[in-house]
Amino acid sequence: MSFGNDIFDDMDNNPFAEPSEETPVLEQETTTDTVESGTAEPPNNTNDNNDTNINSTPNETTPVTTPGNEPPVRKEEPPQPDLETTLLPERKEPKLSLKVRVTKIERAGTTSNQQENPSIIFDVSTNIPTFRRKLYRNIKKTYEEFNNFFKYLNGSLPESFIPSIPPPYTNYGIENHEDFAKLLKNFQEWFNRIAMDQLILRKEELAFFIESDHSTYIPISKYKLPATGLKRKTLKQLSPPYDEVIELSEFRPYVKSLHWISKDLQSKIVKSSRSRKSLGTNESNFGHGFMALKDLNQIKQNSNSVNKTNTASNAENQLYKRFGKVINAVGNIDSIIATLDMSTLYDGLEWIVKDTYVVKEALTNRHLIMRELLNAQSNTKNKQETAKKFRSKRDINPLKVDESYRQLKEASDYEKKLTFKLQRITLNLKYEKENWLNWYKKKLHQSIKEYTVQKINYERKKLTILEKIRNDVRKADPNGGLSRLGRENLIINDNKEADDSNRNNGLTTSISSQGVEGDSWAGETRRRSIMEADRLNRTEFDDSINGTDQNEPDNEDDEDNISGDLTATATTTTTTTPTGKMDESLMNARDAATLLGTATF
Amino acid sequence: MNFDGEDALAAPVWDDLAPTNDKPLEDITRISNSVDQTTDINIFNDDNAINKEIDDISSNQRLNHQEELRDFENPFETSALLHNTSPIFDNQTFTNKESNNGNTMESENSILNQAEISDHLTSQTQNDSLLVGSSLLDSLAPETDLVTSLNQDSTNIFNPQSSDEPLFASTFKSPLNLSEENEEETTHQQNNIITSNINSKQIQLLFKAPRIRRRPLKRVANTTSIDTTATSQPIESAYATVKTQESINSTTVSSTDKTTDTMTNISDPLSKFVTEKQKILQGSQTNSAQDSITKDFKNDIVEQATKPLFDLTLESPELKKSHENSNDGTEHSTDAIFSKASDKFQKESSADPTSDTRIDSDTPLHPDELENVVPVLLEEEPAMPLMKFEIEVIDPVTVGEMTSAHVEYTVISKCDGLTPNYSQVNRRYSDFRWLYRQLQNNNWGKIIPPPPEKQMIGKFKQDFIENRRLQMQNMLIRISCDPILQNDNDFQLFLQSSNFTFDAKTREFYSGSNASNDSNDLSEIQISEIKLLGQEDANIVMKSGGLAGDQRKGFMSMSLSFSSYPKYQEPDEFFITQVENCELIEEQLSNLYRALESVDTQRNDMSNLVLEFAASIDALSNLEPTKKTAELLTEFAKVHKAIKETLDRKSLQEALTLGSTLDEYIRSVASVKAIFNQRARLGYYKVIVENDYNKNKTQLEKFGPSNGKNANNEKRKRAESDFNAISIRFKKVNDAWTSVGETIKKELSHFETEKIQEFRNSMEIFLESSIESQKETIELWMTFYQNYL
Repeated sequence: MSFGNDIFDDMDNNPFAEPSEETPVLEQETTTDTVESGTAEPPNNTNDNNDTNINSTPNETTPVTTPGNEPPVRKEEPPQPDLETTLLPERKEPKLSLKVRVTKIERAGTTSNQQENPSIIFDVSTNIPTFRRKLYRNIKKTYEEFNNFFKYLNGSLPESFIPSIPPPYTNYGIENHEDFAKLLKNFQEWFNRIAMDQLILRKEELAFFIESDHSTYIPISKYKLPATGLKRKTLKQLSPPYDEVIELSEFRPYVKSLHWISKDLQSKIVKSSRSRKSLGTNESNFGHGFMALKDLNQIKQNSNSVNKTNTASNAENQLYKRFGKVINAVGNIDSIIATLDMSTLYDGLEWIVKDTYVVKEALTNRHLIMRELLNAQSNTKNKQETAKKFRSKRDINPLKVDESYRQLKEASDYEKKLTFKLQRITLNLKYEKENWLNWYKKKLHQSIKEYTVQKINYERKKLTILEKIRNDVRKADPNGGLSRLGRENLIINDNKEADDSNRNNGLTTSISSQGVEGDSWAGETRRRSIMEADRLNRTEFDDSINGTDQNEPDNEDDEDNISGDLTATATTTTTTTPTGKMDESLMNARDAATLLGTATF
Repeated sequence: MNFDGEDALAAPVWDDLAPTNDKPLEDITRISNSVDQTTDINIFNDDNAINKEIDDISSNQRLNHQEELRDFENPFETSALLHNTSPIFDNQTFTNKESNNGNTMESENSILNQAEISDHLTSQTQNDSLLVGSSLLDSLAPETDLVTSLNQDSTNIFNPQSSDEPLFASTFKSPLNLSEENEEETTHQQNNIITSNINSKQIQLLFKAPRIRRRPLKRVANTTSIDTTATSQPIESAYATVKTQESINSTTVSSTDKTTDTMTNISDPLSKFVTEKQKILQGSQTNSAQDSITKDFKNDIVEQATKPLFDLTLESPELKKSHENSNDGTEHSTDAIFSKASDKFQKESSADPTSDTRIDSDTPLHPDELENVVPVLLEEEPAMPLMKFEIEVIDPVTVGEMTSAHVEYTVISKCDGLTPNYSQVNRRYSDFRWLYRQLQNNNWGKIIPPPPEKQMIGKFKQDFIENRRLQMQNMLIRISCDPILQNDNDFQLFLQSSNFTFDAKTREFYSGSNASNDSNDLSEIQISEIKLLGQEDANIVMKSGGLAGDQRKGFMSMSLSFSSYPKYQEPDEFFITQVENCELIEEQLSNLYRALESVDTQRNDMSNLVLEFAASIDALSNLEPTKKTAELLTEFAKVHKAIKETLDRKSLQEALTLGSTLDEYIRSVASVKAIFNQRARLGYYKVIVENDYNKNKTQLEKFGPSNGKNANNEKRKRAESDFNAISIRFKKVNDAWTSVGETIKKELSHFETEKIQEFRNSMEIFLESSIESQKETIELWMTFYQNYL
């Protein structure tokens, strides 16, 4: 290397001046380095900025937009206009673009393979020169391949936070609509994140990965982490070296606690979801108990028909039966909610947990490199001392002197290399950090939103179902229950009006509190007709309610708009779902059944 | 009834009362209540110029008495000790003992003497005070029954008594508190008499006491209604009517004639005590008029046991009427209680062949009045106005050390029909069990509102005691709403006795209910031989080890039948199906309950987990550098906390509505099963007794028609008497069996409709609150969604 020679020369000529000059020298050298490696880039630098902007915008818009990220970085730059270009030339020229569209998820083979190793099918269009073509269709990669690729990237690119691969399955369970949509969405997001990173795009391994045949990809290039295995573990135990970049030195513990808290949250979700599930089961049992009461009542009725008139006890039986069914359904909904808790928030957190781990390890890598640099520095210093010693003794063996010079040169070479690497890493990670934080926030927000939306949906369904039985119970005993609370008029009046017309319609007419006009209990009006969906979803009760459902088709348009609005985030990438059938995107009966793990219908 | 009456009480009230005789019962009772307070007594003193001596003495004696009480827990001991310590009065006790031997006149005299002495000691009498006394008497010896009146005496008139006091001890001693020393001594003597009786004579006679009391007020009502006409000469007429127990009457009369109101106070319990004594002495005095009545009671013991309960309700309105008409009436009513007691006693005694001999011995009664009583009684029976109870179980407090630690609840009851109309006592859980068993024993075939289960591990444990408190309160309220059960003596005893532990044991002993040998299973029952067969026969049967054992030990060896006695087969299809249904219902309900329970526990678990979850979110939000995300997370955590609260509320509400209803339903079903068991057990007894009956019959027939031969004749006679005894027994058992069957049928139809209604009610409330909490949940999420997402 040229600068190596220079140093050697310098050392040779002026050894005493050398050590103190190290850093300034480095700066100079790096500039020269860029001149060499950048191949006539520097002159274009300022112009390039504009170019890249122009280039980047169209490129970035399709996969994922990160324009918000780069401009501020550039604003910060002026004091050191050269640093980024010299250290991270890739960032300056994001001419490369990669557009990926994930189209399908395939699960095949054994059950465990289906679950753990789905194949992702996607289309690619790119302008990266390492690719042989510009357009690829129906590329099929297994999850394992993704993992391999990720490992490679993670090992070979300490400068970036490599996005972790999303979990191979969701808590919806495999082989259902929700799972499919969710996985699709996740991988799409992953590709988008990959495409954002110019450093990754510049890896020719990416081309190898994409161009390799299905299920054959193994990293071709070598990659090496700064330390692995036991050594890594031991080094991690040491207190981190002094870090002058406060941003990053603070970032690692932050990410670490994020990681742990998210894990903790996950375990809490698992627990609460488990308990909710068993709550649901218990509620269902409770409902069955009521249904059994009805059977019992029938027996009784048969055995002593003397006591009651047949019609009365029949109505009673009907009441118990329906009440039981309602409770049962509520239990089922609770089970569904439990599953949804898992598949929305838990899965979201799962990715966050994975990613925080990667980020943390990337930061650890940086620490390790810093440590290595420190070693290298002290090594250089030692070598220099020896060299000096030899110099001072004129009568020493010239061979030895040469040897010490050679060693000194090697050491300082290595140190230079490391310094450069570290600087590059530090700079890039600073950018990446912002990037990642944005992603994290978005992801968290998204998961919570999904979670909430599903919660609302199913709590509403619960409410609807509960309200369905309301009048039945009310009617059973006009002098009991609510009348004690002085509320007998409340429903009885409704009843009288509704009774004749809606006997067959299952009493749902007047008492549902969630109408098109909004929630009866809330002050504000929320225009909506989710109620429709609610009813459609609970087919178990439709034996008596079916009529009403078809009576109100006029709401359908509203439904599309608003419910789409409501659930838009929950089902963002379920592009396959036609807008008219938003119910399906929520959950259809079959999926609900799979969610429950048991057939409820 | 106005419970603040004591405050309102003032001298003028008294003035109004006494002369005009117009005051309604309420006022009188209020006054009497006020008399309980020493301060209030002072008011009387102002008006009536009663000697302060009395107060002083009474208070002193009260103190003395308390000391004694501390020393002696049970009346037998105390009396015995007293006997030893006060040899001065041996003479009198001796005379009383003589009376025990059948010399009733002597006993009367002695009592009269004592009364006179007491009269003399109590300083003066005034007309006013006399009236006061009568009214006091009324209120004190109340319309309800003897037991309660006894209780009242102990609890309310003499406030300071400790709860350790036994029932009878308190009654015996209660007069002591207010009376002067002589009288106290006389009562002591009487105590001695009782103890001597108890010790020397058959203990079994004691058994009669409760049964006598069980028949309390029919008479009272009648007599009082009769007495409403009497205005001018209240005292005499009253006493004339009451003549059954001369001694009592004489004391009361004399006291009313001569003594102050306090004196009447004294006389009342005293007289009651005397009645007790006389009962024990086998009712030495009876009226000729009562003979006719006694016939009625000979009919059926079971009927006897059940009937009087119905009668109880009659009394209160009647009494009120009488009081409105005249003050005298009240006095009569009190007297009537005594008469009734004696009547009952006579009934008992008539049932008891040994006592029959004394029925006619001395009867200074006015037969005409008593004759009047009977028809009135018959007319009044159908109407059974409900007394309105207000019962609260509050304030659970843990009492005792380590091993004996238990929770005591304060039971507050208010009822206009009872005197005192307000009472506050401490009861523990086992007392409620006792009450259940006792009522079960007293009312065969009735579905008794059940107490909470003994062990309630994990059942809505968030507030076990509160839950139990509620259940026990419900139980009491339910009992008080039943026209029959509310008049049960044991119920009223339970509400009012200040010395419950002893009272309960005594009652249990008398009724043979075995109430404290309480099995966990509410549906298990104990059939009291005493109640079933009457006193003597029960004694015989008990000696041979109960009815079932009777068969084995007594007769099997004789009758050579080694085969186990025939099994009881329920002949009535109704019962068979009902029992089946019952089992089914129970199973279903407990399934349901278990499901609800696990829902509840699960919900609690979840609410805790949600809280933890919220805490984790909070931690995350603390970490968050940007304000927006932090806020989002904080709100998210907040929502979860709110959700947790709704969950908690929901589970509480579940427990309170469906949970408690189900629980009660299940326990009630156990109670229903209990009555079936009663029926089955009685049926079983019936079979056994029938078996014996047939055996004896054949044995008797073996002898053929009586011929002159002596030896054979004796055997034959014995066989005949055996046969007679067993046939009587058979009849009793059979009657009991049939009547229980009828009661059960009646009860069941009522039970079903009521329970189902209740159940549906709670279903609806459950549903409604579920809906509400659902709305709340949705609203929470919606708000969160709209504001932060």
